[in-house]
Amino acid sequence: MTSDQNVQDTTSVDHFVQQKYRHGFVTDIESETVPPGLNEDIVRWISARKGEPEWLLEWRLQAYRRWLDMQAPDWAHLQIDPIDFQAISYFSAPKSDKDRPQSLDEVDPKLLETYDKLGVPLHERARLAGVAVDAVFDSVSVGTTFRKDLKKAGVIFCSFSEAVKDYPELVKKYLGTVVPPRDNFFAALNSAVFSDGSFVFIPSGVRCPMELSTYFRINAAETGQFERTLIIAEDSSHVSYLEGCTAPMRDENQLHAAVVELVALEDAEIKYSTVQNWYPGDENGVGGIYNFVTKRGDCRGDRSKISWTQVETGSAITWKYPSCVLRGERSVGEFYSVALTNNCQQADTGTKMIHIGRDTRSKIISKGISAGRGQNAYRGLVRISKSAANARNFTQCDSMLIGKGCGAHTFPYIEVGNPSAKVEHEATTSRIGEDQLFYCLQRGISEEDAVSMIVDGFCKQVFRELPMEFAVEAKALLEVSLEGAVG
Amino acid sequence: MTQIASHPLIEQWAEDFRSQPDLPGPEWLQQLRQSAAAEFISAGLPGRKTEAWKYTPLRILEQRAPAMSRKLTGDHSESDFPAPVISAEIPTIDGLNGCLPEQLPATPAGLELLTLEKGLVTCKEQFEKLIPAIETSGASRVFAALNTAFLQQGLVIRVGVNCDAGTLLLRWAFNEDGAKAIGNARIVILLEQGARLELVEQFDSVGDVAGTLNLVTQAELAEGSCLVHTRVMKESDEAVILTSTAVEQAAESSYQYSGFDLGGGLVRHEFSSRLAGPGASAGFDGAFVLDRKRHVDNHISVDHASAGCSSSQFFRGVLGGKSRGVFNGKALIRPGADGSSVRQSNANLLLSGLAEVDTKPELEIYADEVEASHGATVGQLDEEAVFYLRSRGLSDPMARRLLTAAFCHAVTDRLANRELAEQLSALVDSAMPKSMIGQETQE
Amino acid sequence: MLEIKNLHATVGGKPILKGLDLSIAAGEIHAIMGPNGAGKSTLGNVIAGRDGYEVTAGEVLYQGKNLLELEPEERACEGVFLAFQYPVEIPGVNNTYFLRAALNAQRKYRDQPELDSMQFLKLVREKLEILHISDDLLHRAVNEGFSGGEKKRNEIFQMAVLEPSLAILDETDSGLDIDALRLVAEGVNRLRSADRSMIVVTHYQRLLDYIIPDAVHVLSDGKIVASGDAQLALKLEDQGYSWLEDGGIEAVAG
Repeated sequence: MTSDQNVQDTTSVDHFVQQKYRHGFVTDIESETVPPGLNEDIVRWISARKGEPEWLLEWRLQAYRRWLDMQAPDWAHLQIDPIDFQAISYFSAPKSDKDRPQSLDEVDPKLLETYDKLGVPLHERARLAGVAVDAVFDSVSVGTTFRKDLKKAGVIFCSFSEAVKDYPELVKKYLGTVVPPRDNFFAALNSAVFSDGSFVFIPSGVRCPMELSTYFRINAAETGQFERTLIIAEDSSHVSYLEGCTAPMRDENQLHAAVVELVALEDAEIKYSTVQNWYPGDENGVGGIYNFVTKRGDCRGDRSKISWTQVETGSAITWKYPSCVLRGERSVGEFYSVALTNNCQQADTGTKMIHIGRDTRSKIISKGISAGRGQNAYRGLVRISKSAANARNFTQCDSMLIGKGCGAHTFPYIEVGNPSAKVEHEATTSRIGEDQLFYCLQRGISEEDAVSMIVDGFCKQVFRELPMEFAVEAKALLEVSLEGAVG
Repeated sequence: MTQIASHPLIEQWAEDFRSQPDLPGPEWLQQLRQSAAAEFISAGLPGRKTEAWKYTPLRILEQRAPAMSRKLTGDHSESDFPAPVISAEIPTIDGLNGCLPEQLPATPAGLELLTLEKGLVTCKEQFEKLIPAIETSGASRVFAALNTAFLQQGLVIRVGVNCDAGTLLLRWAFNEDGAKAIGNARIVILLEQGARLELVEQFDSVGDVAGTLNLVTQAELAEGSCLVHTRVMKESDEAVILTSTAVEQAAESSYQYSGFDLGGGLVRHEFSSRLAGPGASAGFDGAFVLDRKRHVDNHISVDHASAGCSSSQFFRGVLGGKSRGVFNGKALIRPGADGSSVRQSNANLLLSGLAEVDTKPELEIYADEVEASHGATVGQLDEEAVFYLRSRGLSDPMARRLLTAAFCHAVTDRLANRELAEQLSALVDSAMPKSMIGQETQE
Repeated sequence: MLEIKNLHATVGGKPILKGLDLSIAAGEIHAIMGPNGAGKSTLGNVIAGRDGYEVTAGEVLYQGKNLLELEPEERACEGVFLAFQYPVEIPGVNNTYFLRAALNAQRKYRDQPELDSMQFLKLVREKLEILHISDDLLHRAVNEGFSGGEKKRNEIFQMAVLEPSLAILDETDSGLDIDALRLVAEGVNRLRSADRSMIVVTHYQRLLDYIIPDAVHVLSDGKIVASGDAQLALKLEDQGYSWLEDGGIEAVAG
């Protein structure tokens, strides 16, 4: 597990059982999957399969042609085996999708069982938890709860495919305006082949009456998941959106290349929380999800606010930088992140805060925990443009090392072009506090509990930002992910 | 990286290389020059896509298209050199247009000065390993590759076992002969066990010469040795100074750099220090005070390859006019380098709406018993302090100038050489940008 | 020396001073006491001209001049000195250098010749001696790393060098132990003179055991609610400030 150096030190904690990936089961249902490979015909097939209008097909094809000219980025602090994009299947849907269920009661019970195992608060439990859930299973959105309640408030919350059918004008107006298809390699790929995702529209002045939530799951083998999420918050509206992700255990790496676009207009606020627990691969680094995601929020309106909170415990490789473009005057961007890498996991994650409007503010709190042979890099950009008078940024970026074989890296980019800006960046890296550990042990707390207590304390600033039920889940996930890691 | 060198400047230098007469030196050096030339030709000029150069465009060089200069002979005239920054009688070596003198000053016992040519003979074995150790591949190392390809000029400084060699002054200047050309020089510093040397480099010309200097410095610090290295950049806005310094440090050795970039049109300092033996330490301090369109870039990389080493980076920047300052500090802690400590700090004051600062403190850590922290700030003067000074009778602009200078004194205060510290404080004060904020409205 | 009439001031839009009147003759020491939040520090900051303290009505006449029209440094040059409650630390600025710059700025303003460093050093050493302060103070940066007591003594030292006509000591006693308090008070007493007025702002009476004021004023809710001689301070010490609220004012004000 951990390195064999310092055996004396590590054995006391190495005995913790390495718990199996809890969500690693495969659901045995029939699904419709296109053969692996990518070409214009596949793009056309996906578009036709989803009955999309001509303009969207054209949009996909343009993205595809762009993608052909692009190269996979290599600047991140990651070791990635070359990905064979022709070996991936770009669409997989449960067969029963052909006669799509009209309500949850008609959903394949096996699917519901899957969500049960995942702990997705779908169905009745959703009602109790007050969460409206859109679940994306492989590539297709399988059902959205609470649609009626939300409709009453004027909120649109549906699968992306439905949005394309029912609200084509809205989709056309906003799609690709935050993350254009040419943005980067994976965004271009997503734009060409995206299969489904969630669509949220909060009209002017509406406070979304409940937390919205999507659970993503990759089930089929050798498939990639390319969902696309678009959230639009009109003037003075408010929404909190949660996203959870899991995938079964498989020996080969699977690609997840999602795009999330957020648009906040005047005085609007979007809070976007993620608990990412994709399959991380086994302790030798076999299998696991490649999580290459582009997430960006555009604070278009004055006084708008976008807040990203993420807890990243899964995936073999994570490459994501949820960002805020602070265009509107006095707009606010926030990024709270906990990223944990254990075993052979690698993460290169952080954010970009692009200050354009005057009096814009941003805050970055990043907590990286590296254990086992995990490599964890924070990469963040704070850019204060010439126009961003009185902009403020505060960044705190702490890393904790648990064990000898892991790595913690910090790569902040700070670019300031306005003299009235105030930017502060602080970062620390240290091993888990021995005196803290000892203090706990001396008071009779087991090492396992002590470690999770200390790690939990280390992450508190971020967990505080999560909605209650997610915070509990995040904490539990962290504990599970850390087991067997202490050294 | 299969870039094809299509840049006219690279082609020009390639032509300079092909047409240069046979240079002296052993066979291995001839081969090294050839391979370095191949490297700069294939790499091309670094541009925005070259991570290490993304904030430092080379437009001024492209416009100027300086030729690689042939070795200039003849002695230097004292009138080409401004007064030294330290008054004491110390051995002084003057480099004009990148060209070092044949005649080197007398030195105290234990300190030996040699031309590179002699060094290649005297330190044959050492040089065979040392000279090629400079990284020359890739676009980010084009200037090191150039330096190696055209390697001819140089100075070797050697300090014997347990000898304290005192202070040595190295003055760099341009005169009109140096315009339109790149002066290319290499300094090799060899400190034997327990040796100590303080090297002060002054970059300062009498006139405003559009000269370019491409300087590579290699230092080998044996166990317990200590190199204190100070650079004072007072060049004119016309000058382009590119330096690359590689320090190899054995156990318990110490390297302390302090740089004061108060002049120069385009200045880039690259440092790489390898802490190869336990207990070695490297410190990089710097102050840059910029005005007009000046550009200063400090790129530091410290490699903690052994246990119990410490390194620090402490930079302060003041930027006025349309200037641009870049700080990139990196510390790598390798597996097993336990007990390492790293501190990085970069604070900047932006005084003008047209100035820009880009800062990038990086940590790459593969060992767990470490203490590492970094901080970077960009901001303004503390208004509380401004009021305090005004309440004692200082005018607003005066209070601001005083506080801005004080901001940089944090760097001079760290100098162990107090005489030099005082000199440099005064230089820093007089380098304060003309375009101080608040001044326009108050005066 | 100082004439404050119906002074109203706000901080961040919030009214703090609400019609304050105060008159101080040359050579007098007046103590301003009062509960927390009464506006004691605001008064000092308004007189010194700190940003963010907005005068909405009233006037402050100092030696017949309208002080409110002047920039903070002009007020200092006119002889107004504020001993800060929290003296600011200024790393990198040498104490001696700073003080000489301040003194020469003030001398220049008054058309007096500037002092060169030798003359200045002589002056400074005299003052240090009078105040029994060690001269290592001169080599340090302004207030940097000073203890609370050292900072306050540095303020008094600066006052001794700058020789103001009006000094406002803002809670100079706060955070000092009894020995430090005595040292500071001694320093202040040495600087008493017939042409120098002082305002001593304090929360506690104990400073006034050492610096005997000519008058004591009680500031409450932005106004002077009671004035008297040194005895008033003792009464406040004894009974606290609460008695002021129930009609006790007239009993002593007179």
